[in-house]
Amino acid sequence: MENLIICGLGVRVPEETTLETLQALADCRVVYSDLDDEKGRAWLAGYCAKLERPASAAAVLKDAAGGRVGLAVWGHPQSSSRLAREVELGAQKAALAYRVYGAISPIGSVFARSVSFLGGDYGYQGIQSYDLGTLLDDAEAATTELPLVLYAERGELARWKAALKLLSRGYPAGHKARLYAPEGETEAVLAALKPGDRCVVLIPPAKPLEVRKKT
Amino acid sequence: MKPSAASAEGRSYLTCLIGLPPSGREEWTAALGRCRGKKGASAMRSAGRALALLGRGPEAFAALDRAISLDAGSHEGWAWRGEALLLAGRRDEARLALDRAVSLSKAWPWARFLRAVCLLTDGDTEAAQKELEALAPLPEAMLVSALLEGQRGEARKGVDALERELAQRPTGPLFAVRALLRRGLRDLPGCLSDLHEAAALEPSAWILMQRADALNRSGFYRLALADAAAASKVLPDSPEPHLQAANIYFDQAFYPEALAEMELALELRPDDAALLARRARFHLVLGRLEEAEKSLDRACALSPGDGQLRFDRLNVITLRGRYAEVLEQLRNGALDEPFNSYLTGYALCRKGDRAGSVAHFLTAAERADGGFAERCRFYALVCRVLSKPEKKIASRPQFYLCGVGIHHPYQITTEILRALDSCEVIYNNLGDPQVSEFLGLFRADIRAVTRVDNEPAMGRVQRIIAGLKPGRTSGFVTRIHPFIYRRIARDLVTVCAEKKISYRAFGAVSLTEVAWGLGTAEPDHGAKRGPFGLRVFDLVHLIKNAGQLEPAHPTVVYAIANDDDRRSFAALVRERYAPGQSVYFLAGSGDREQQVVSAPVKDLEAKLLSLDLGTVMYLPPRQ
Repeated sequence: MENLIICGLGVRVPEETTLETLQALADCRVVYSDLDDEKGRAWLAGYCAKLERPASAAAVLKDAAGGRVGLAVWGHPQSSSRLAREVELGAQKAALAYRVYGAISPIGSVFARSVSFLGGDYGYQGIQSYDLGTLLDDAEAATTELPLVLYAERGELARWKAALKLLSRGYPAGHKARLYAPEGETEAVLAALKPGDRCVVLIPPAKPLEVRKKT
Repeated sequence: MKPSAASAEGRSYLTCLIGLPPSGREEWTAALGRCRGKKGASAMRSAGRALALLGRGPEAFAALDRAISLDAGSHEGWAWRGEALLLAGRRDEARLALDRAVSLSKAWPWARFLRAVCLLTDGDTEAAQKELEALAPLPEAMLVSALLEGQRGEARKGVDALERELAQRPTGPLFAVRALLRRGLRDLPGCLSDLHEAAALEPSAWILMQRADALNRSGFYRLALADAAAASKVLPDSPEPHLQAANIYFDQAFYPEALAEMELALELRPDDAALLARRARFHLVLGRLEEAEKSLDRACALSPGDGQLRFDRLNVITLRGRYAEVLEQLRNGALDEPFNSYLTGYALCRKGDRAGSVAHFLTAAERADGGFAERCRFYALVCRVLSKPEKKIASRPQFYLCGVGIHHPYQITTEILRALDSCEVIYNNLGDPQVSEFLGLFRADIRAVTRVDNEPAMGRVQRIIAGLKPGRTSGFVTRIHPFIYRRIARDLVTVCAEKKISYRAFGAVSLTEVAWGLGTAEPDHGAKRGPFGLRVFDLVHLIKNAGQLEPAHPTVVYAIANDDDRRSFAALVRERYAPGQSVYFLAGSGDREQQVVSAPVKDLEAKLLSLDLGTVMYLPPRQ
C-alpha cells in the first residue's frame, strides 16, 4: 500500500476528474490540494476525509511518512504542477512508496474541446505542449511547425501577454488561436487573446502539417 | 463465481501433453471402432479414453463409469476417468480418481504423471515436483517439469531446460510448451515462432488452437480464425475450436459471426451449461435480452447448483427491467454473498435509486476481496456521484462521444458519467465484459457497435447515425481517448457535422499521459523543461521530419508503423541519443492490459520490432 497518492483533477474541475482519482483520494486520511478554484475545492472536500492546503512539498512528504495521504492538483500532476513534481522527486529520494494516477492533461482536454485529432490519415501527426512558466523561461522551447498547447493554472494576464507576444513573432500576421477558459472558449489572433487562471490555448502550426497517407 | 484460470490451463496442459496429431484422431477413432459391440471392462475403458480424447466428454464419462462398475480394481479405469475429468476442468474430482489409480498401482507411471498435471494446475508445485521426481524415465515428464517452472514464476528456467531437450529431439509438444512459457515471459513473437514449429511437426488440434490464440493476441485475427477452422477439422466432434472461433470473432466485434460459431459449438454439445452461458453473453452484447434469458434458463436447469449461472440469469432479468422480481428473489437470498448485495445494488441503481444502492455495493465490497471488491466500491462511488444534483444544463446535444480512459471503466470522468446517465441509447464500442456490465448501471438501452466482415469503416458509423433520433440523447463509448488514433470517432464527428446533428466530445486519459509518466525516475526529468512540456508524434511523421525530434524535449511517439519504418526510426534515435539512455514502451492493444517495458537506445530496434502495433514510446529528455 502506497503512503502517498498523487492525482490530477483535470483542467476543468470537477468535470474532468476521473472516478479512479476520487476513489484513491477517498482512501487517504488527509488530502492536500493547492487548487485555487473555491468551487472545485468545496466539491472535492465532499469526497475526502480531510482536505487541507499544503504548506510545502516537504510538509506533504513528512505527513506521508506517517500514513496514507493524497495530493490533488489541477490538470495532470506530471505536466502541470511543480508542487506535484517536487513531491514526487522527494518521495523517490526518501524511498517513500507512492503512486501517480492517470489524469486528463491539457492536451487530452483541448483535443476534445477543439475536436482535433491525433494520428491516422486525418489528424495531427505531431503536437507540443508547454506550461506558461516553461515557455517564459525558454522562448525557444516551442516550434511553430507543430500545433502548440499552452496552459497555466495560475496565469496572470501580464505573463500570458508576454508569452503570446514572444510567440507571435514566429507566426504569420493574423494567426488565430483558440482560448479555452473556465468561462468558455474564444478564437482570436494571438495578441487579442486574454487568458487567465486555469486556461489552455491551442495555437495551430504556422503552416498546416502534412497528413499521413492512407496505407 | 468464474471458472478458475488454473482449470482452463489444466485442460490446455493436458491436451498439449497427450496431443492429438492428425493421425491421432484416426487412431482414437479406430480404437473406438474396435471397442464397438464389446461390453467388457477393458473395452469400456479404451472406448472411454478414446471418446474423451475425441472431445466427446459426456459419452466418455458414461463409458468410464460403466468400466469402473465392472472392474473397480483397475488402475487404468480410474486413471482414464481422472484424465477425462481433467480435460473437462473438474480438477477436484480428477484428483480423487487419480489418487485412487495411484493407490491401486504405485509403479504405473501414467497415473502419477496425470496427478502431477493435476497438482500443477492446482498450484501445488512442491507436490507436483515430488510426483515428477518419481517419473524421471517418462519423456513427457520434461514437459510437466518445464510448465512447473513457469507456474513458479521461473519460466526462463523452463525455457532453458526445454532448449537442451529440443536440440536432442524436437517435437511438437516441446515447441508448444516452450511457446506457453514464452507467452508467460511476454515474448509473443517467440511464442508464435515456436507454435509455427510445433504446428509444422504435429498440427494437433491443441497446437493449432494455441497458435490461433497467439495470432489473435498479435492482431492477426484472420489467420487465427483459419487455425481455429483447421483445428475443427482435426476434431470435428469437439465444440472447443468453434468456441475459440466464436471468442475471436467476439474480440473483433464481429458479433453475428461469433453467435454463428457458438451455435455450431452448441450443436455438438447442446446440454453444456457453460456454452449456453457464453451464448447468453453474446446475446446480451447484441441486446437480445429475451434470447439471453432463455439460454440462461436452460443452463440453470442443467446445472441448478451453479451460483454463477443463477447470478447471470438474475442479471439479465435486471437488464430487462423486471426489478421487483429480481429484488424479491434477492431478498430471499437467491445468491451467496457478496453477490446478493452486489446485484441488489445493481438493480436499484438501474431502477434509478442511486442513493439506495450505495449501501448495498459497500456491503458487497466489505464481503468481497481483490478486483471484485474494487468494482463494488467503484459502483458505490458512481452511485454517490449520480445521486448528487447535477449542475443545470441549458440543452443537451443529440450525441455524446465518450472515451473511458486506459483503466476502464475506472478512469471515466464525472462529466461522462452524467452524460451517459442522460442517454436513452448507448453504443458500446468495447468488447470488455466489465464495460458492458458497467454500462448496465445506466437506464439506457445498450447496443454493441458491431463490425461486419469486409465492410468499410464508415459502415459502422452509418449504422450508429441511422439509430440517432431527434429529441433523444444517445452516447458512444470507446476505449482510451476518442480523438487519439480513433478513426470511428473522427467519422462520427464528420457525419454529425454533415447532417447537422448536435454532438459533444469529452477529454479522457490517453496513452500520451501514461507514457509521459513512465520516465519520471530519469535524472533529467524535473529540470526546467523536464515534465512541463513535451512533444507527441506519429512515428512515420517523425522519420520524414527528423528535425522535429529534439532530444532536449520529452517525447512521446505512437509507433503504429511497419517494420521498415520502425527500423528507420530506431536508426534516427541512435543518431541523436546516447546508447545507454533508456526508452520506455507501453505495449498492448485492444482491451488487453498495457505492458510497460524499457530498453537502452542501443537495443531499441530489436525491442520495438518485438512489440505490437499499438505500442507507444517515451523518450526522456537529454539535457
